[in-house]
Amino acid sequence: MYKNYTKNGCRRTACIKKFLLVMKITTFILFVALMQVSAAGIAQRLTLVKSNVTLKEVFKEINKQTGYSIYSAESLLNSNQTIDANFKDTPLLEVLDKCLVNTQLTYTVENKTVVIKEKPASLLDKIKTAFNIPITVSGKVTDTLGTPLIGATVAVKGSDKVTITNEKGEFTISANVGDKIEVSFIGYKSSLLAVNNNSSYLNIALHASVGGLKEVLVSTGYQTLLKERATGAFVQLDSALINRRVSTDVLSRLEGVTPGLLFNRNTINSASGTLDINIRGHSTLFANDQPLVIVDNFPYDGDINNINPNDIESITVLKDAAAASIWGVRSGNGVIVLNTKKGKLNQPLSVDLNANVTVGNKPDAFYSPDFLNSNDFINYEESLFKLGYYDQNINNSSQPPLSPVVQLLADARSGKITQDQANTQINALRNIDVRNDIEKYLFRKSVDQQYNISLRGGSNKNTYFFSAGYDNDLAAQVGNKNDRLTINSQNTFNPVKNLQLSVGLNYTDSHATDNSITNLNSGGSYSTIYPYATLAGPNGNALAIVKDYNYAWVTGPASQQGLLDWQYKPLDEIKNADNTIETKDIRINTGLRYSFLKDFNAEVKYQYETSATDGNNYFSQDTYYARNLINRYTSPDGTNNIPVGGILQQSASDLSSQRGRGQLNFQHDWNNRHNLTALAGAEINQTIVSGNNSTVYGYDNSLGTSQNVDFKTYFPFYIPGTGAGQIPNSLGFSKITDNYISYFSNAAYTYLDRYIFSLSGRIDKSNLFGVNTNQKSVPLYSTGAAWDLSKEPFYRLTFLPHLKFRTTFGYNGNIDKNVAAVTTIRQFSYNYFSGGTYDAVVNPGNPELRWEKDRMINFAVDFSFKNQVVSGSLDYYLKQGIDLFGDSPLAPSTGLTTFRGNTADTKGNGLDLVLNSKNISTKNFQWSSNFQLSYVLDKVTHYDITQTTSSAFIYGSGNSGTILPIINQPIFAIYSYRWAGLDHNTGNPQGYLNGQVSTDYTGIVSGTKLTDLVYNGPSRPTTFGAFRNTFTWHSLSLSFNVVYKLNYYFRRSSISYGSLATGWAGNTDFTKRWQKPGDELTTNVPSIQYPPFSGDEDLFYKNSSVLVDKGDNIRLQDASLAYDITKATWKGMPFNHLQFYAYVNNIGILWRANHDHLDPDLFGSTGAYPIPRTISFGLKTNF
Amino acid sequence: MSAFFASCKKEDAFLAEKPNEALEVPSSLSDYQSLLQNEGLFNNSDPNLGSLAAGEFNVTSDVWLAASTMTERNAYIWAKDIYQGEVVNDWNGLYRQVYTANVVLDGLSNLKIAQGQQTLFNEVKGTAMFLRAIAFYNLVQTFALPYNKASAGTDLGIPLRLSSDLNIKYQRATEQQCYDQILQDLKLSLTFLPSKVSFITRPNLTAANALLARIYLATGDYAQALSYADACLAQNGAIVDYNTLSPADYSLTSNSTYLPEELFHTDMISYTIFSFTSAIVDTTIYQSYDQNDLRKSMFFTIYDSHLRFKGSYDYIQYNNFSGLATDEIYLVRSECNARLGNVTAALADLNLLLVNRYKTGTFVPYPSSLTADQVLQLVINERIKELYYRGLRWTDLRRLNQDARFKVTLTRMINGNTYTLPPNDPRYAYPLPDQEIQLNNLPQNQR
Repeated sequence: MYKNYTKNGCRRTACIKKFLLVMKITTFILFVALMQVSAAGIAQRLTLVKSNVTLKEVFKEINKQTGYSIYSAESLLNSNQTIDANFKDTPLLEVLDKCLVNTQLTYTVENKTVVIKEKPASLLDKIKTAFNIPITVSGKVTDTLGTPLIGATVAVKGSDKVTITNEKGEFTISANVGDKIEVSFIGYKSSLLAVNNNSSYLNIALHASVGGLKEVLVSTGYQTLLKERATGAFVQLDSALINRRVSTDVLSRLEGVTPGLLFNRNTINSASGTLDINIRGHSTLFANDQPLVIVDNFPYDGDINNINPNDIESITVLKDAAAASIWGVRSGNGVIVLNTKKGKLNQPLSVDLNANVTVGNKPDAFYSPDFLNSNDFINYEESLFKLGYYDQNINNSSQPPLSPVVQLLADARSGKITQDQANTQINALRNIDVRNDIEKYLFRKSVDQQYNISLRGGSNKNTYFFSAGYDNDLAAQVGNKNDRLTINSQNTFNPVKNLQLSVGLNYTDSHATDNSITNLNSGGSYSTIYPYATLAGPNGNALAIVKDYNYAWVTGPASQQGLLDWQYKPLDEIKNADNTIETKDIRINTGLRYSFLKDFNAEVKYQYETSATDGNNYFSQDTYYARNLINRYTSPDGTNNIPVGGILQQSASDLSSQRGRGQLNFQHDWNNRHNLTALAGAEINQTIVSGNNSTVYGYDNSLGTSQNVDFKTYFPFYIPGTGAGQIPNSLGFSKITDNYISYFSNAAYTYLDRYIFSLSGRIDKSNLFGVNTNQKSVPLYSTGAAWDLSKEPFYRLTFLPHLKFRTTFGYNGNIDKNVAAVTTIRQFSYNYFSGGTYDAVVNPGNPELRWEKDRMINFAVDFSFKNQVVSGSLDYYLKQGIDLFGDSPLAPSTGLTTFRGNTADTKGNGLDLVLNSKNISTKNFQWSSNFQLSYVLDKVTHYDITQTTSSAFIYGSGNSGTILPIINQPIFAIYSYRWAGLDHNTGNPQGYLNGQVSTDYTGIVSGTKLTDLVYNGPSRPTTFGAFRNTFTWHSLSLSFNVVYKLNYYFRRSSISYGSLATGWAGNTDFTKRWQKPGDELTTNVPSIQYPPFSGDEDLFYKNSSVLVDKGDNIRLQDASLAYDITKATWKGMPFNHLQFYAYVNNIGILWRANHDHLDPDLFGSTGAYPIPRTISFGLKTNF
Repeated sequence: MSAFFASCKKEDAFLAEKPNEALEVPSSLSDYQSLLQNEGLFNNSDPNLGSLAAGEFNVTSDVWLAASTMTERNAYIWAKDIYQGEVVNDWNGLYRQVYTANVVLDGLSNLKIAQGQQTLFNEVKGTAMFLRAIAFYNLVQTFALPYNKASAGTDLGIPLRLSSDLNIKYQRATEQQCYDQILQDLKLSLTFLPSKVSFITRPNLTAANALLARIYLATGDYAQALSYADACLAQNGAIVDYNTLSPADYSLTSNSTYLPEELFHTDMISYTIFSFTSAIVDTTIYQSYDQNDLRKSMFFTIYDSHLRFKGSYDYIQYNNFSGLATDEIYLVRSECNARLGNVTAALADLNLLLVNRYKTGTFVPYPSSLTADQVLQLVINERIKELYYRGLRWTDLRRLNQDARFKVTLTRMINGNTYTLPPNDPRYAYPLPDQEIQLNNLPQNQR
């Protein structure tokens, strides 16, 4: 192995020259220490008087005194050759001659580099080889990630031919067929390749040597840097980790493998399918709380689901200020940088295929506790009927819906049928469970297919990458499906030396069909359905359920009044629905990079993206929606105010963005001693999102024609006493423009590979604030330092060969787009009396408005035990949200009661621990583990508005979208009423009022102060992580990931008799209710209630501490099994590589703290079910 | 791109682009006009606290206990402490009106008037002044003591916010300063307002004259009140013959149009205990209507076995009308004439009003033999009957209690307790909202 035994310096004057140049460019004052570089200067003479010194020692001394680097194959110097040095101001060449005089070695000097090599072969040998015609071998040396290795030694073994790779990692050397070429580089395993007739260009990837440096590159979107030389908190996900999972989207692949990154699963956003990720906690109150996603150097404006994960080469997550502050005001929530795959220079065509199919279980319709069995439900209905509870709805001229049981009871009472007939029919309903039909007819097994092909390669002047992907997902909800076509191409050209042109094109076309029934309900006051409903007859024919109106009236009198059929048959609805959304996304990237003056390159990048989403929800005349609307708007005389026919709701959204960037990069290495990288640039972004909606009536799908309707008049509804309304019209237009201009700069200085300093800054200006505020813009900056202790000469801990400390400090920013610095008004329609338009002030001017700032201080240590038996890192950080947008009270005489400005502060801290271990590492069997632990808690430290008890419950834990800031409490928290058990005699729930056990619910609800509430704890996991184990046996590898979320709480649902009566909201707790004195010892479910219901009692019980559960859980997230076949294992295989894989996701909960068998990772809404388990099979091949 | 960065002007234009097309920085006359046409704000937030305490309605103990806010309960029994920390919509809504009017007036002062826009400019300016004046007047009626010429120079009024700048703090002006400002603005608005407007929710010259008449009457300046009432009725003296109305079950008329009597349409904010189904009409008042008086059947109905009020002039939104109408101004003119000794003139207006309120042919006009004092008594009684639940009774109680002839002590029974409000009690001024006291450090009314 060749090693650089020495470090060389440069002429002092040259250093200063370059340094000044750097200063001019970056305008950063860097480190004055640089001025003292190589104070000894360069004298090509050596003074050394010492006996018995090894050649290595002499070479070190040469480097020290002359600055010349000396390279040698390690094997050549292995012998403990010593000489007696007696040099006094001796010229360098003379020294070298004397050193090598008694060896088989010789040397060449080129560009201040001395290469020690074996002496040329004898004449005889030369004649021998002369019969072989030498060929020119060129190639490129990279690490395994494809990053060029500059200065790697390339030697033809057994000859004097040695060269060093250039700044692109490329080399050219002449060799004979049959020669062996050895490539070596510090920190990497050497590679030996035989030269054959096909060896005109070699791509040589070196693997990091065990226990040595681990080559990890991190990408910020502005630059790619060695993680080794980074001070900030980066998480790098390589291709292997990204591809461990099988999914249609890319971001879910971060889940469970990224320390500090949490997928919130128990929030309203995630429940509605919106991405809800937090990196290192929550850094804002009301502003955007999602991380910035970068795709190929620019923020991605479109729907992230448009990105095909097969096109992603690597993902970098930027967590602290030093990592993210280059992104300025958009970095406050962390940054996720996605880099797509690219071709490589001088690489032959390589084709990758990936195909897989994922089958998911049916959703569990029986999971939700918000259900009451038919028998109990009917019994309760019968009791309420006897009490006359339904009398106001029976024979009510406004025809409110009645459940089938109540209808039968009413019919029996009025004598339409006998009581026996009623009882027989009712008893038949007692055994029906609507969830069987839901699972049978509304759910199915999901089937997702994914196919992807990519081609990549390159000549010495261009690279290319082309991929096409097709996904077809059949959702678990009957009626829903998605498909997506992605086409991606990335090309680079080097038309002339030092100039690189890149062009990328991405195209996505996706179609979604959304015809499912997600919320089966009977309308009226009923938000759900009676448990004894049936959706299909014995032969699968669709049956009607009670919907919106009295069913007996719908099928009786109403059907004889010339109206359209008013029945609602859910299964027919799925068939008749036609709701589609098509998205087309085109992204074009161009870039020009010009290298000059050896150390500089200038880049210009431009990206254009356009994305169009078109939604068409067509309700044919057969759909209930159309029939119902037409009937409702029919005048009593039979006139149709809505024409009989179809209804088409259209929505269109167009996004177009343009982003341009100019950037100057500098990199120089002085004698491997000082390394400086710096960049500076400016960027301009514009994103315009416009949308419009419309509804047309009397729409004929085959002709594309519609009819005009009167949107203005209030039509009395067909059923008397149900009011009047205008014909629904979704007409609307919107246009949002985001403009940014930014200036950024960044520099990192490394001294002796072990002292690293970094500095980064950015100024943003935006149209959100108006011009005046931008003129006062404050730069967001960060600084960091790192010390690789293990590289110090005095470092002696051989069991711990790698130990590095990092610390950073800096600011990120954030913005709430709903506030502005100037007074803004907005036009509204439908003026209160005249019906026209009017304006209202929506935002009082605030010239003091500024960016939200997030300050983060990070302390970290990276370490690796010998042979990487255990390696890892620990980051501890302190964060502070400063000038966050918050509401503050204003004296109401100003005309406003609250004012949103930069008035809130938060504070938090946390840690991220990563441990990797190689438990067993034999030739045929390996077992490695990865353990991740993250902790984070954010608290509100300053907020001007004092919250009330009722708002603590209205807004809840914050997981439903609105944060309730309370000083010195976590941003997300659960509060509850103190619970005093059930009353022994009545089974009523008991709380505390003024310290006394009380059932005065009104008193408790109005008299409990915020400070009297029980603070249960945070409502989002504060401790979370994963434990991943990977086993490899020959070509078979198995990996499974256990994820855990700890230290958080959730409020579970229970029975509310009021809601059961008015809305049919059942709960399994009904069966556990208090029924007789003594039950209070075994249950906390209050005794049954009959009308009139006490709203306050419900409110108290619902929000009492007895319904708060601990959310902690550990789950086996997934397992993946792969079998690899390579040419080495199967010689005749037509592929380079073939892999079969299987993957199981959402396997199950291993442990949970709550005893109610609930999945705390669900946002608690009725009908929610845990994410079903999926299993995937696929194959990948490369040829 | 570098060319772009070089150009500061272009950068400014780029950064000044509107982030959301729906949002606008108010800058044009039509923007300002549109801001003043916010009917939900300007025409639907007249205070109702006064009416809660004015004795026109009673509620049962059950309704009182079930009131959705403490404010309603306390106001109904004239408690010393009213809000108990609750938001005071009466105050907040009126100051929101003041703020919006100030945004417009501040904006107008920096606006260059384009050619041909002088008329529109005048209308917008006059409207803003009128709206600010009426908001201040409504505030003074609720949150300051009744006007008393002797003490008005020292009695505390309300903060007179004359700028839209949120950072300026205003102290409570004296009552005299308040009335001076209100009257000055209104008189100035007379020089700007048009005589005709496109919709009844926008003030015109007639409405401004009517409001001036209302305010001068409240301050006891009968000569001035008379002169503005004259001006108003000269411009619009329409009075509706109730015989032509076709009342519906729950409203005064089944026509969904505004009566020609209306001069400027506003409603009071609503309180649940005074909703149609909760508030019970005071029996004494009900019994004071003559059998042939159409108002007796048109204003009142029995619902849920109690007497309810259904006589609001708001047929569009079914809220309680508190705006300006000619019937009030006829009564103002009649009262002023009576007080000034013009019996004939006073009776002319009173008879004109009542002949339109009685079944055709049943009203016997009051004879001119009555004394001025008798006429005055008649007019005062007629105000109670004609202007029932129009938000005016509270002001009438405040001003008339200062005259021994018209003094009234209000009494209420709730939950077995009896509450009284004697004449000229300090509780005739509501306390300022708690938030206002805390945040603005204003002196509170002593009750």
